[in-house]
Amino acid sequence: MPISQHLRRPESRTAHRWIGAVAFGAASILVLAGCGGSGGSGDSGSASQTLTFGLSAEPATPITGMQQGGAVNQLLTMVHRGLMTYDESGAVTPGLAESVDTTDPTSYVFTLRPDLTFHDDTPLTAENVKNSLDYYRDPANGSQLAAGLKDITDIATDGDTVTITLAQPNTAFLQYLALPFAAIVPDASLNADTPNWVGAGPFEMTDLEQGIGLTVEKSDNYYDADDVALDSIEVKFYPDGEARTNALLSGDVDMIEYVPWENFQRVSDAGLTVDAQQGPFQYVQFNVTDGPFAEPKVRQAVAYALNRENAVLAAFQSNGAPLNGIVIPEDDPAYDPAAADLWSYDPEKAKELLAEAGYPDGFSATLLSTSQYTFLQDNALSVQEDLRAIGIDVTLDAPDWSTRVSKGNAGEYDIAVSGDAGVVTDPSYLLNWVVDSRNFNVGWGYSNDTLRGLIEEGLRSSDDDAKRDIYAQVAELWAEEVPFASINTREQAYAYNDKVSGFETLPGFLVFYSSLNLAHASVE
Amino acid sequence: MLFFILKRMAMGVGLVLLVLTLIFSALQLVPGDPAVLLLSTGDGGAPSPEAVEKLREQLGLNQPLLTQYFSFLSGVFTGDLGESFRTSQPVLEAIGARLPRTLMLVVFATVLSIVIGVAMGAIAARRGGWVDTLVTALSSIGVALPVFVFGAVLILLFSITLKWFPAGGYVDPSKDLLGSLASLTLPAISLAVGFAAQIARMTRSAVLEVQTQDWVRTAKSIGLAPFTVFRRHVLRNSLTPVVTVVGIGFGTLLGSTVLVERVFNYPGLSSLLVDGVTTRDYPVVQGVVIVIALLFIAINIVVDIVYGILDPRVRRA
Repeated sequence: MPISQHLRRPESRTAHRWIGAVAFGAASILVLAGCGGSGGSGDSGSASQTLTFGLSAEPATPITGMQQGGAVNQLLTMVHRGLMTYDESGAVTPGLAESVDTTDPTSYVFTLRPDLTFHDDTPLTAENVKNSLDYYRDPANGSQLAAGLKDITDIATDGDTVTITLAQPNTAFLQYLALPFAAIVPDASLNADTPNWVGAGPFEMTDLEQGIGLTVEKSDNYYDADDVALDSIEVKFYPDGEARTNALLSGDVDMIEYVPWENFQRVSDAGLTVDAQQGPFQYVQFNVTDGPFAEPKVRQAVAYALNRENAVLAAFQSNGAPLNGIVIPEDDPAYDPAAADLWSYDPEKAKELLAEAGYPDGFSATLLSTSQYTFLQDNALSVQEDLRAIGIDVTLDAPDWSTRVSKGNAGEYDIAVSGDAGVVTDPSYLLNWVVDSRNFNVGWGYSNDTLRGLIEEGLRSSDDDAKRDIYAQVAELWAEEVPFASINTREQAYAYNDKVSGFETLPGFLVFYSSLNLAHASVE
Repeated sequence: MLFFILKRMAMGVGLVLLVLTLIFSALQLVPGDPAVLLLSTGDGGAPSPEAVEKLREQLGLNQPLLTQYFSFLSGVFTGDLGESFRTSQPVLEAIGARLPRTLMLVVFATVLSIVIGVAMGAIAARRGGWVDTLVTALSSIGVALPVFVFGAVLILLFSITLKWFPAGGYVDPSKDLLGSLASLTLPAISLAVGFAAQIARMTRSAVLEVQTQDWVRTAKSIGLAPFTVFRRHVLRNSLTPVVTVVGIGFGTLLGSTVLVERVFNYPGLSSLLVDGVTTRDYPVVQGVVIVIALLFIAINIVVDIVYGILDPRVRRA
């Protein structure tokens, strides 16, 4: 049969091709499977110490002096150093300065370490210090340090020393100089157009791949270079918390920051270290311009209505703690446990307060939060339940973060749930909430000159007993006025595998600057 | 024919203008100030008004809206899509880096889908019985399974437990080809699963239909071996509708990369768009949307023209 002969020949050839393609596909998948595994372990076996670090966001290009959020700060702690810095326990200690002399509470004499050099090999001089600080303290430059450095009246240089004169004593002054965005930088970086990468810190940025990651390498110019064990840090960007955790668990990276709370247990069950500190706090903020929340008794009612244990469980899977008042670090002279215990969970008392304020049957209100940061939304849901229990019928508004910020900045809410942390640990961070600064993080329209005066007095007070007295008054007024009703503090964690040693997170609000300690870390 | 092509092209240009205007207006309507957002994150520290004002000025956001619109339009037509607010990287450069990555992922997933889908569909139709039931069940699951769920399962199994593949990320193929393929495998599989299931169903029903055609009976009657008949006369003729599905599916696949790129931390075009939207990085969002729109419009024009060539009736319409 000639026809079938004709048909059969090409067909068997194509059949072979078909089978071949499938076989090739299967084989290549197997090969890929193999190399995926070996690739990971091959990298870490090399002699030089490279830490792979999973960052929680793709950072914006750093701009000198600007506060651009946690991810940028992590990087700044690697490449920069200021006159002061934080040591491994979180105490303020000299950084680029070798020593600080304080002859009186308004003048500071900093002596620079010898032979300081920036990453670009230019020398770091007292003039650079003056120029950087002058830039930071000028509000026109949009620097976030302007408020912290506003007491500076004069900066003088003489050889290796820099003398700073303050208008009045400021107990948080040195803390501000230790912030990652208070670094001394070359004069050429003192503008908003030059990316703020060149510094005098332990690591130097050598490679940036947008969207993927960046590499910093140990800088021999760093004053403490002999003690830096890591040769380089390979930073990879993982905006998604789940992807970040997976990267750590699968060994793609050695260390991550900002561990999602629902993954704490999973990470530690896998035998990795979850290194957490109780840091930032969540709170209910009020729009006080009109309506029920203009009345302090209603705000007190809210403070008593909050079931904080529930919120901690719902939002942080218990990786947090209820907060019945305001945060003052234990090592601060103003510390008094009473300040952290201004209200309790007492719905009955809350109802009484509502009745006294003229709302025995409650009222309805809108609650602004965001769905983008789930922990804020979960806290808001908990608050919604608690307020419903005392008769306040709350409608939840949880848009994406951008919209939440813009609504917050326009005062488009009755109450809102937020999270925040002090930039420094000095309790003067509370100043933010008692001025009518009209931004998304502050109770809309709230200001209180008495509270503001007291906190500023506390900032000027170098006498420990006096400071404690002042903050006792602050706490008393705070309980009465309720500029915000606190909900809880949350644990903020780094996690790493057992190759990493010598790293520890910093306590309290400083937890966000923990990457400073990468200068003391090593990998096996 | 030339007139037909020109007409289609002119409509394409009109569409591009419409898309440009729509995307510009949409971004203005969405709340959220890019300058404020650049200076604030989820955990506190509201920026000072001075800082915001300075940044707005630097980004050109303090200009009148109409000025911004026309400078945006003229930028687009001179091939300048501006710079990212966040990274200062030229948008065109960012897209140039990321578009190939996403296309690579989509092409890999398409190839996987075709190979697996056609094979499964053909086997199901030919064998029938429990094989058919199994394939039909699997393809139902495949179509219904959300890509992020499947992706998470793949990561748990192959990255965290077995440690065969990286849990995510991207490796440049020019630097490390095998590493690059390894990092592409899991995302491509999770992207492919739904599409493969669709192709399997399509192939199965097409094969079942073609099997009953006269020419198949004829081929059998001249004494060809059953497999020969199947491969030469059934499968080949069944693939025509499958090819159409693949054409349409490519676009859908491009859309599905949004979730896959998130789950696998894959720095492609979709993740650039998502990050751009969440941070209100206007130039990036505008740029990516323009490129995607151009891509779709171009594909449609090509499809129209091809139809026109194949079927003269379309040209007269």
